[in-house]
Amino acid sequence: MAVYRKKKHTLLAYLFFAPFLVLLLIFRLIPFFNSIRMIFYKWDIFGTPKYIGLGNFTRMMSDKVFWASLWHTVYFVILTVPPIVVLSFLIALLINSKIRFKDFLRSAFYLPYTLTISVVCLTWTMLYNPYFGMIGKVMKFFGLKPISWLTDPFWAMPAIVITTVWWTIGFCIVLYLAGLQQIPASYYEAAELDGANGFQKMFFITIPLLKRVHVLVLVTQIIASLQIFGQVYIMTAGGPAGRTRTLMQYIYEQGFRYFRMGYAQAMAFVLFLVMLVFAYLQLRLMIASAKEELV
Amino acid sequence: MKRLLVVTLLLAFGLLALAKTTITVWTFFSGGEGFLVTELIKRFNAENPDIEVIEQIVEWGQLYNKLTTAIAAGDPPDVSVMHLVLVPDYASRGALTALDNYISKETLQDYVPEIAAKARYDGKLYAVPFDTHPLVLYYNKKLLKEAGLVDAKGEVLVPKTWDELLSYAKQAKEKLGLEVGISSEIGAMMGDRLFIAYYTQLGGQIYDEKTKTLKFDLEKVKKTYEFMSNLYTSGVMKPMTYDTAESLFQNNQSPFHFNGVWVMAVYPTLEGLQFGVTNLPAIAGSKPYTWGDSHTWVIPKKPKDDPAKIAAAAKFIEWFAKNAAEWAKAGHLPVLKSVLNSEAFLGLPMRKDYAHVAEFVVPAPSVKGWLEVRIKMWEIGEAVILGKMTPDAAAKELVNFAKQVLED
Repeated sequence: MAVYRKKKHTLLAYLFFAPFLVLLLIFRLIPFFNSIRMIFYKWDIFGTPKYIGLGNFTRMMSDKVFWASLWHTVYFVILTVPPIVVLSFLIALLINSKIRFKDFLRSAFYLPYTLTISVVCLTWTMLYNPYFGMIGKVMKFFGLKPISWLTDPFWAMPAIVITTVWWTIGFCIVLYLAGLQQIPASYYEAAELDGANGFQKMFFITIPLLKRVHVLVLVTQIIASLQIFGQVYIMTAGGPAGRTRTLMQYIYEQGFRYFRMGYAQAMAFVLFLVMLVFAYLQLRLMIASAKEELV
Repeated sequence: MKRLLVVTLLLAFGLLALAKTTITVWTFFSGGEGFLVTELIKRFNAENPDIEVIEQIVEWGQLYNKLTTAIAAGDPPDVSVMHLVLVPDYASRGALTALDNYISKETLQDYVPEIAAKARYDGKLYAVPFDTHPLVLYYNKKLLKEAGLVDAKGEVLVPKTWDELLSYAKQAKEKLGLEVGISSEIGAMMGDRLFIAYYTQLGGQIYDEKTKTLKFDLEKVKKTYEFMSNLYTSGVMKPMTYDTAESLFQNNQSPFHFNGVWVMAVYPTLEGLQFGVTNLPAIAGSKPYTWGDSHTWVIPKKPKDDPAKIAAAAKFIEWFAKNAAEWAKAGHLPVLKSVLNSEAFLGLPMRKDYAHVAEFVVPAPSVKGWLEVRIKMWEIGEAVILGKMTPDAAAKELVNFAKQVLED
């Protein structure tokens, strides 16, 4: 009897899933497998694809721009993710505490996230203008020489990182706030009764109990940052001297500008594998912490 | 009864549709420019009751991606706007309809020859240009006067050679305590546009007629990079973005400014900016050749040709080119000689000062793969300007890259 009921439930579940599965198949899975096939072809979009085996990969191996773009992408991730994780956690703590103007702060940090990428990038491009931008004026006020952020080979990438952190941090703050509010107040009360100080409460209650949020923020930010495209495209177009060209931009250039769809697809596949590793890592860590909580 | 009404209505609409040929046009013009296109299309529709042109505005950065995929999917618009520089990349792949049989001889003969030549690929006409937008020199009259750069009559001195430009820029910069003598963006403006201008003035060619391929002259490329590098090491110019370069000029902080003619839609409206516009300076003994690109109309290839539709589309794009004086309000130069010399065009503010630049425009070569070389040129130019690459190494890199792209 029990088995029968279970079967019936599964069938019903699949029935409810069916519309979604069909759409997933048509718009995601079929194109996905098609694109996997394309990595073995030379294809200029208009003509017929020509099979070249692993040609696209051998090309990639010797393509200096590919390696440079891959490095710039990783560099962007290294510069972006730690400040996002740390700052969003600290800001969430601040907003969650008993300070004044909480609502104002919460809105102020979240609002940038609602802006479109072009608005964000144009605003920051203006701020970075060394002669008329606010940042340059502040630097001059303190007797410093303004930096030409977006055309300086050293500062161009950090400038994009600052813009990105400012733009996207609001989302992570919300995740942390949700996590913080789930920690029962009784834990802190009990700890206080035992004479725990703020430091102990932070490191033995708050941080460990937010483990799932840490993993979520960390991994989603890594995956998002690996796909960095828009900010670079609008603010520096990959310059100066190609120093901010990321893998996504190179894939775009190769595929849509230079009509090398197969090659672009092959590079996208590499990026996909890298992201897959992180997605898998997230899954494992989430499962592990979920099990821990059950114990 | 109701059904009868529906059928009658359907029939009526059907007849109406039959009487009119509908042409969809993709453009990426917005703001002040976009308004002009929309107005022109309205006028065309009013003058041609048998054709209805419907404009669909696609976001500037998205048009080519969408067009490429639409052609590949067999469902492109009837007409699309396309930069002249991109025509070879699409024409060479069979993505455009050849227009030789659709555009009248008189119109074709009326074209500025350099532009008409580049609208062809492999001898066939694939695009109908309706403007050209060259790189020109802007100068700030107020600053030049303050720096004492005036002739006996009190008119500001307009540099005719590069040496004159450099010495005027230096003098104005030092006398007025400015950050720069000339403001310009370092990527496209220097690495591609100014490069082509100076290199051509040196007598350099990019395209080899004999072998029908890209070919740079190593020595002249090197000289061009040396010239570019010198602009920055001498302190006359500083690395900056497009926005910074514009804001310096617009705020009376830069006596000279390199930019395209498209800014003429805006600069004359800025209060407090007294400026002039002229052709780029020239190397002694050379004409003031300059970079220029064009907006063109193309007819994307469809799985099945519909001659009636193509004819209607061709009628529209030829009409548009002939009526480009209106479009020139956006700053661009017309490409038909009759329009270029018309009172309607020359009567626009300051157009007389730069209309002659049309004769010195050097469009990009008609070769597949030029876009890739162009991006490389921006990169190499920036590396030279930032002192990360010597002119010698830069020249070798560019020459090699051009070869490699063609082999691919």
